Amino acid sequence: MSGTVLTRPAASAAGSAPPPRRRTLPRLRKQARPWLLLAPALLVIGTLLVYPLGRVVWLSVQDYGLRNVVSGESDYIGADNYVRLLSEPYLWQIALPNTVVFAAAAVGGTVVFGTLVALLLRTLGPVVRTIVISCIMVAWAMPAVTGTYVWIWIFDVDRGIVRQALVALGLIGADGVNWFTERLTFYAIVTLNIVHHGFPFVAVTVLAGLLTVPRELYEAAMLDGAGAWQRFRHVTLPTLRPVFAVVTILSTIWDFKVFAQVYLMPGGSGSNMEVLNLGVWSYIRSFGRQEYGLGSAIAVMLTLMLLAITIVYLRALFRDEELR
Amino acid sequence: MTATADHAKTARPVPPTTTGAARKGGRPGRRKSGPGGRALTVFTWAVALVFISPVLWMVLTAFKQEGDAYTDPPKVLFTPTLEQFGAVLGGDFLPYVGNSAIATLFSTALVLLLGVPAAYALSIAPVRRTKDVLFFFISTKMLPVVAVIVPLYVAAGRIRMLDNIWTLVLLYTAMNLPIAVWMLRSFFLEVPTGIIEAARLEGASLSRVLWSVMLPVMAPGIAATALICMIFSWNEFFFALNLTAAKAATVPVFMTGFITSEGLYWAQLSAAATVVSLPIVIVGWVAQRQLVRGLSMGAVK
Repeated sequence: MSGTVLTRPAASAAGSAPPPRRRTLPRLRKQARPWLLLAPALLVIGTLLVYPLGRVVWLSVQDYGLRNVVSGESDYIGADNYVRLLSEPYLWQIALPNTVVFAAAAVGGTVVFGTLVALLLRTLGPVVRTIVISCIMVAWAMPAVTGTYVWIWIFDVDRGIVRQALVALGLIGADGVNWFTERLTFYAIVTLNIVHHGFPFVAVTVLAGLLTVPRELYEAAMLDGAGAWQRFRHVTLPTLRPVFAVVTILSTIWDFKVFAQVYLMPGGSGSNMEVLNLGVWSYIRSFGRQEYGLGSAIAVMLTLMLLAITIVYLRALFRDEELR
Repeated sequence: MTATADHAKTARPVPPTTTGAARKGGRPGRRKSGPGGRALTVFTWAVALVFISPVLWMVLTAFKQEGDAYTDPPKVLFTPTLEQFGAVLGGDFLPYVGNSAIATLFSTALVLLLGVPAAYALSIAPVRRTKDVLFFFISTKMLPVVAVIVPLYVAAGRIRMLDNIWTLVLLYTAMNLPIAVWMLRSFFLEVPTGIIEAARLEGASLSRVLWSVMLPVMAPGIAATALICMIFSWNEFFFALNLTAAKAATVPVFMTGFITSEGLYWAQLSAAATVVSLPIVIVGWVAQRQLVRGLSMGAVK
């Protein structure tokens, strides 16, 4: 494909004059031009994402409540919000574990399941593969809000299909179980929701990577008597390391920031403090209780955590290869 | 991925021992798969079915009467009705769709307008600090939206842009730009440099190189990027929830209003969810090939 596009302009160029010499254009302008192309994008992101983040960092060192929103004045209190935050047992016992343990489970689930599906997809013929990809892409494209409602309904305490099935099987009593009040079951449902929503991305990405692995590598491994797991472990995994790194980074970023999938669940908007993660907690502290300073400190902490994780990942990813 | 892997995919000569059909799928264990392969196929179908089933269940419920939706055991056979869809569409649903459409289409157009030159600057005519700029772009993806909402809310209030759909257009543009730049850049890197050099040799201006040489080659990549931005914008919930009210609310916000005001009318909620998901699922489904390519390219490269 690339060959045909290549020949057209190249052929016409061959007959033309040698490159016209730029007479007066200084090198500076040539160097500045790419930056001019970048400037609008950087400006938009700077104004709408980076500046607010700076404001949040500023807010996090203020005693900023509703009173201050009205008056416009603020009191600088240094690290007080952070001290308060870090000495709050709720952070260590509830919010942080809810965020980190859940993210670990969800990322693991998404990546492992997505990879399995990718391995299955590779063995399928083109037609069946297309059909299966269509099915899983529907799950991916569904809005998180509708997806969450569907899961809430499936696990509905009174009329959910899961309850009906479990009662019919005699596994739970006729009274049913409220899955949403317990932290563990609450997050089990959130994990299910997230894995369901996130695995198609991993599957198609890993599949794209798998298709670039030269078949000879597998054939050689098979000749050496390597089983399926060994082939995966010694051929697929090393070759696709960058792909796995990227899907893991992106899943981690997404899963740490999960908001709608928690906030919209019963109790997730603050009525059940047991089930909040850092993001939702920060939001409720800020908007629900008008403690903007403390809410901002939580947000800054979450951002720093994500930053740290991403830097560690990127280090690992680009350890021995140049960024293309 | 590295250049060698690309090379292996596109230009690898066919080994003499393999048939064209085997090469096409690039599947290693195909030959020895007899009954095992069939079992695998069945298993894959089961997986696909399990993962489509919540969606199917939702769509099925949308065609039920409220009474049919709650039976135990659940009814699979029932007289389908369009009543719920009528109720949803007969309400004040359409303004929300309009808002969502504005936010989606305009933000996507803006993303491309800003993202294509930026990606060009990071691939074809790279700036000195390409790596830093790329990291900057991707680092903004780490930003939790809860972290920026308070200042944005205050700022939007101050300039009287709360409950204004153009606020969302701008925010969605900023939200999607980083990933779009990464994706577009990976597509730009795929364009054979020969074309660009040739056009340059002919003295074509930069805008001309972009417009008449690159664009046709880039079209599928740009389409994929646009689709992904559209899906993200249509589905965005957090900014819409906090920065809009009655006037500029989008469909995800409509959904949340639904559950609180209508209580537990699951059949009607399912109908609403189906209607909300439908446009974006159709878009995603029709353009799946580009989407899959775009998703994986953005991440792989």
